[in-house]
Amino acid sequence: MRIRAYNLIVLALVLFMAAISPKARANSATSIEYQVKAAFLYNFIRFVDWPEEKVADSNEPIIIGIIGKDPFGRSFEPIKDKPIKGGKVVIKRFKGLKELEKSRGKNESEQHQQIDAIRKCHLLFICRSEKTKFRETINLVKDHSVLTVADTKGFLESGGIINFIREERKVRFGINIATAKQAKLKIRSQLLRLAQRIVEEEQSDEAKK
Amino acid sequence: MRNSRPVLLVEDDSVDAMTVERAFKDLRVANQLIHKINGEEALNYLKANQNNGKPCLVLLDLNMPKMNGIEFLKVIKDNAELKSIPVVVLTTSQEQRDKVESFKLSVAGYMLKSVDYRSFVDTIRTIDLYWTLSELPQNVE
Amino acid sequence: MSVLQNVTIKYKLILIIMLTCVTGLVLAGIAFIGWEQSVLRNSMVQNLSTQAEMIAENCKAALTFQDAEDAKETLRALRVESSIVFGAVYTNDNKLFATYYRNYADIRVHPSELQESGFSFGDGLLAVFKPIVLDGEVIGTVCLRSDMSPMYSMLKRNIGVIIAVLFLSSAVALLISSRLQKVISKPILSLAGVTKAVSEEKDYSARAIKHSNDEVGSLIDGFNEMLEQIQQRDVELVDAKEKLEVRVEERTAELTTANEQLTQEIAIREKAEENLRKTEEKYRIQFEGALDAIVVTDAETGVIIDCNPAVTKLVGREREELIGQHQRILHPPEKIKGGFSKTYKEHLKNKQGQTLETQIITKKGEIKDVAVKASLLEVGGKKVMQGIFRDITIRKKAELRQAQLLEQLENANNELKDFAYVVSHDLKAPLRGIKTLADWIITDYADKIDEDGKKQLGLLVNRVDRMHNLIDGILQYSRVGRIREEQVEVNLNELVTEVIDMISLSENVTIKVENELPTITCEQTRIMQVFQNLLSNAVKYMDKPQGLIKLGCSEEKGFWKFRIVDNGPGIEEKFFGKIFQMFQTLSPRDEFESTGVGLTVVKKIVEMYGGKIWVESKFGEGSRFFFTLPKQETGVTNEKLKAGFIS
Repeated sequence: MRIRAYNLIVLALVLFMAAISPKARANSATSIEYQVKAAFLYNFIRFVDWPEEKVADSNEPIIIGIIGKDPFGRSFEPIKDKPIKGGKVVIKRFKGLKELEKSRGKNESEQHQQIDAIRKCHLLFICRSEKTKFRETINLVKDHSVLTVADTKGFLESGGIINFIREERKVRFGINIATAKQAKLKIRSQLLRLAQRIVEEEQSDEAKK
Repeated sequence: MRNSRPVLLVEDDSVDAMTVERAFKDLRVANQLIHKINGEEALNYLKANQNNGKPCLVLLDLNMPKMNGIEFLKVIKDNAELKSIPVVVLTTSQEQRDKVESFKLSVAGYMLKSVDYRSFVDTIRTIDLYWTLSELPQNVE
Repeated sequence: MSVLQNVTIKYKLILIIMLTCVTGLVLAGIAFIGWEQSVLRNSMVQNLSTQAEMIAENCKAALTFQDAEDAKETLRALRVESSIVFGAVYTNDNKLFATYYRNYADIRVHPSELQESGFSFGDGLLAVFKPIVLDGEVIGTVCLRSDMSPMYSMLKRNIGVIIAVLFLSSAVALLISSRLQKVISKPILSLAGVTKAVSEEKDYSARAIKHSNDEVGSLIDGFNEMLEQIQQRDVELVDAKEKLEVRVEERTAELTTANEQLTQEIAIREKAEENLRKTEEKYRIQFEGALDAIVVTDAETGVIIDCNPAVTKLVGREREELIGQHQRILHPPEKIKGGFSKTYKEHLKNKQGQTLETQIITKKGEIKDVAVKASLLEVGGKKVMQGIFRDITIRKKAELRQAQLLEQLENANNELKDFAYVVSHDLKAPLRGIKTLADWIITDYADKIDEDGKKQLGLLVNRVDRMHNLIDGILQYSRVGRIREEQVEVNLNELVTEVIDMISLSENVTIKVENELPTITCEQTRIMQVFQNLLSNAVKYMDKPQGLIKLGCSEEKGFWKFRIVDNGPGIEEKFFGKIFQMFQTLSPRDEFESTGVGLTVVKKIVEMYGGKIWVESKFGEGSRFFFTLPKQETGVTNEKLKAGFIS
């Protein structure tokens, strides 16, 4: 444990350094954006109903998975302790698929574990870094009632369910109701109403390619 | 009188006494007639002759000197020996008082001396007849 | 109020009913409106709340995702509700997020202050606040404001309805009440009518009709009864009045007569007063002039108030000396007891009007015997004793003498008694002797005495007998009156029969009792002696071949009159008195041997009883002897008899 504590201290230092570095400052504007988006993610969960089997155990926390290069940073800090639907929220970060594939050969069980963990998420934010792997990633969690969210253009067409849309200074989003339906997710009308864009495109099996 | 005992005559008037004597003679009364002229002498006689010669009858006049008939009566009737001797009062007195006193002193008879001799004799006859008929106690007999 | 009081019952009742109804209705109306309002308010609030709720619900996402437009859009839906003038969504730091205005952006309709939830009324608007909760977290507030216009319009409508209903009901109530009030008012009014009629026309025979059995009914009953009583009393009153008038007349008449009487009485009274004055004067004269001493004392104190001159003569004290002194001053000490004279006390106690004897003492100390009679009088309101004293010294002396004489007499009597006894016995004794001796001489010396001698001796004996009889006669006479017998009731019929038996009657003489003789109270022996003497006299002196002696009795006033009538020789008038004298015979004793005492004894006895004896006769034609005996109820009370005097 000495090692962990040591690691934490180092991490904290690094982060602190990063925070006070100009780069960090430069990212403040974007951090606000992602704060909002983080809040939105939380809120999405509020307005989405998962099927029974996914939320059977109320003691289990809602898992928000972030796969890829995490743009949120510390955006979840202010909100991570807030309960959603009476339950706790857990943020999990995952490596991208590329890396996952890379590591497939090395440790299959670990890979499987990862995949299971990803599938277990209620909401999976696919970072922009996974842009090329959208379909695959979505496919991965298909049939697991995962609410896929991204903030990359063409996400919805790729089979994503919610996609953030940047509109001037406001954060908007679009929803693909078909894929939502496919994922057996019920998106409340209120949320739907707020979506700037509604798409009804089914995920095709083409993603499997 | 039925017996031979004497009859004591207590009488102060001599004529009256003579009358009785004559009457006895006329009537052939057997009994001896002892004549005393007053009560005192009569008493003395009686006392002297208590045991023998006690008279069987006393003929008593009331009006007498010294001791009169009533007084005499009182004495002999007080005397246990003498009181049983029958006493017949022979008097002129019709006074109720005398009669009462006499009978109070238990005289056996009260006869009036009549003025008329014949009647007088009748009276004596009656006395004799009566006292002949009548029983007498032994000590007097 | 007073105005109301004087209104007729009918209107009162109607008024009451109406007032009650209207009040009831009004209150009901008010209550209803109030309630309605409240309900309305509540429903409004409810409504608005619901709407706010809906808005809140619908704005959740918008607020969450900061989509004000969407929120606005949602709010715009409020337009439907015409009453909602304002709607807003506030963030959880009370910043306006989205608004809706009915009429332009009117800042005025903003709520003055924000609440988290609930509602408030203000500025004529209802504001409802509803928190927007997402996952248990308040993310914002919805505020809706609506004006009260529906409520007001509702209110207006309600009031209108109520008023309409009110009027309608009132009208109906009026109708019904004016009908129903009759139930109460009619009997009362009829009663009032009757009362009025009775009091105006004084017709007490009127009666109110009873309509119902309630209090009014009983009132009517009572009223009728009262009328009944009044009527009766009226009748009685009239009757009494009549009677009274009659009585008044009578009274007046009485009074007039009384008045007349009174005047008369006054006249009489005045006369009486005059008489009284005269009487007083007379009294005064008598008082002053009386021979007897009169002393007037105060009954209570015994102090002498007045006395007459005779008192002075009696006690030797002047009037001035006596007045003011106590009455005991008149009496010697031995006649005084307890400060008053004994007789005074006795008189005072219970012997008023009775004569008592006492003694007085003169100034000089001389004691006199007095008879005093005292009476209690009331003079001028004061009780006084008036005592009349009479000097009885002389009388007393006489009484004393009398007693002395009496004693002497008694002694004499006793002496006489003894004397009689002695006479009887001692005188007779020698007589007896003489006779006896004479008899013996005759008997014994019959042969030695010649005829003359025998004759003389016969005469001797005869004279002795006579002497004997005389002595007996004297004795008899003396015994009468001396020897007292018991007084018994004697049936004279039986007595006379006995007497007749005792008298030896020869065949030629009959005694006839002519009528029933009474039974009298007397001494038996005495009366027997009377009849015996009279009858034997009649028999003895009978000279007729057929002797008839009749005995009868007649009742006179106060006495019995007995008669013995014979047809004997009769008596010459000049001897009528003599025959009753002692030892008096009308014929020489050689002819009729008689003591001459018989009639004397009879006379004595008869007179002793208070009767009288006399004879009526004609010489040769028989005699009628009469004697009377007074009738006595309780026996003889003749003074002589009492005293036992020998007359």
